Amino acid sequence: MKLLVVEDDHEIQDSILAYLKPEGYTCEQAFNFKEGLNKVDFFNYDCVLIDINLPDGTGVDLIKALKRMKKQCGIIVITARDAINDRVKALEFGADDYLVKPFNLAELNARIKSLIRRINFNGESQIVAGDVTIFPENFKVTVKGKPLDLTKKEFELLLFFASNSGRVIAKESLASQLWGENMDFSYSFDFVYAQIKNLRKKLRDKGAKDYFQTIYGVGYKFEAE
Amino acid sequence: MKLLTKTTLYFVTITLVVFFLGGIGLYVIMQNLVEKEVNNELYDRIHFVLNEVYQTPTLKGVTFIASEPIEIEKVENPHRAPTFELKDTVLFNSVQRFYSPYRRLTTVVRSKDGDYYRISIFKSLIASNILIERVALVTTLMLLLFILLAYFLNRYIFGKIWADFFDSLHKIQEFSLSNPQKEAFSPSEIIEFDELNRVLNKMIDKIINDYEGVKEFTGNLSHEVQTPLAVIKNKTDLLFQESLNEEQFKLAGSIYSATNRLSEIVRSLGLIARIDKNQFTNLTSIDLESIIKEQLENFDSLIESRKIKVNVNFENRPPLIMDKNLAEILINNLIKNAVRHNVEKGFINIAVNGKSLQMSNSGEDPGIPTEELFEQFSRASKEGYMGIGLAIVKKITDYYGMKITYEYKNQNSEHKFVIIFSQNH
Repeated sequence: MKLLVVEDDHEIQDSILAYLKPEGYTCEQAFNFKEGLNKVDFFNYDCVLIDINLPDGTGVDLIKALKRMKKQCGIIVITARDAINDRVKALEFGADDYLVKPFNLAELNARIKSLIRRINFNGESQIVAGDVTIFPENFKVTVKGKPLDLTKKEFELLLFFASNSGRVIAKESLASQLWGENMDFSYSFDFVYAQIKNLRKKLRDKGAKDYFQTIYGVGYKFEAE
Repeated sequence: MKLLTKTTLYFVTITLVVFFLGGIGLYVIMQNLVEKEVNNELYDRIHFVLNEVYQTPTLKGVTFIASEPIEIEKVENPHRAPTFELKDTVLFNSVQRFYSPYRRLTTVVRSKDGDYYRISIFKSLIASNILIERVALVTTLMLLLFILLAYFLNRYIFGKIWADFFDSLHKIQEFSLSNPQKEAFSPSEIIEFDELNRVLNKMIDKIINDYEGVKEFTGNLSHEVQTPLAVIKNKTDLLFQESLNEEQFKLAGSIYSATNRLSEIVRSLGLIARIDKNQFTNLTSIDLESIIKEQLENFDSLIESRKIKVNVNFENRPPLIMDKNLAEILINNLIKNAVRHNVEKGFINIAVNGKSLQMSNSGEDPGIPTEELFEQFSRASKEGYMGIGLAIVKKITDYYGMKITYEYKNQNSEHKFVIIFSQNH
């Protein structure tokens, strides 16, 4: 799996790289528009991450170039929070998804995985985490082959955890995953706890092992062996 | 009190006092003059009479013929030098049958035959009284006319002179920072007003500049801060993946939480700055009902978990033209507020009609004055929440010229927000 990250901030570049590394991707970096254009011209990537604001051009132009070259790759754009127009434009020109700065890495990871699933499996994918199997496109979950009934939020939560298997996920990331960018964090944590409690109980009732681990002061870790 | 009223009041009061005193003075002087005149005439005449008396051998049976009455009366020897005595009196006019005022000059004279006679001559005061009356009347009329003229003249001149001032005043009243159209103050012929206009122009320039500067700064700040915030967030995220001990996890968790809070504050400030900069211009007709339903759905699970009863009463659709994003943010913040400050098994009531939106929810007393609630960053709860959400609500309603009110009813612990959509939206 080959990834290209086009982003001018070195720190953010490094963070993305460090976080995605355990997933086994081959990650390449481009720090400006020109570099990005050269790389997509020479190589083929499964997924390209593009920051809209680049020092020598806009990410939208890069998307246009990718489409002109008829590259078959997933495109995720990163935009500033207030640049709604950029976001709309990027999606119009063929970006598959967008992330708003400042995003959290767990979310980025989940988005990339979801995009790659969509491209590579044509909606037939499944995620296996121990006894649990998730069918993201059909919103279905089975435990040891038996279907498990989850609410929409519980399903989203489980998918998010499974996409970031083995990672420590902060409660803030979980809250923003559940309620989007408009939710203030401090308040919703109680509810995050409640949701996770329910999810764990439902999984346990169906005979799945408890893959959740509470990281005190931070959040949770979901890890299926 | 208006400037004109005040000046007129002063003017009228002072003129009246001056005229009243002047009138009294004039009357006294006139009275004096006329009296002197009458007296002089009486003395003149009595000397003629006396001359006649000295030349006449006896006064017995003598009648003086004069235009005004003369009384001659025999008296005893007064044994003293003759004196003249002046007195005001009335005489009965038998023809016209009324008493009329006279001035009498009386003296005692010795005739040639050695008898003493008291001679009184009279002068009618009717003519002089009438004169005084007429003079007083004419003077009063003149004065009244003068006051009237002065009053209108005053008004006219006032209007002329202060026109520039009122023009400036009007322009200042029209001035609004949310729509800072620079009103040039027209130059005035009057140096003081011209000076005032110059100062006002300078002041408004400075205000607009400063305001733009602050807006620019907030906008830039909220934008520029995002990248370093993202870096901190990401690095902390990476730190979480290291094998930390419990204490280290707690520390990293605190950093992460604080960064997220900061990010939220900066985001809200940026939003307010963007509203100030008129960056929400995508006006569409707003379907308030579906926005409310959508936003409520966002909070579904939260509402459910706290067993809050939501009741939406949508009477009819208000004719709202807004940027859809702002409409969503507005409703989102209101609902968020209603959910956040609610209690277990509480309620949220939303009522919309063509003119207003009412949202009430159960909750504890906010404990701060109502007017402070919309201020940026006023703290409304113990959880350390900063009330920027309501500041945003206020900003959006102000932006669209809506009126928002808030009240807390103690008896049923109810928070109530009412937004009245203005006529032209």
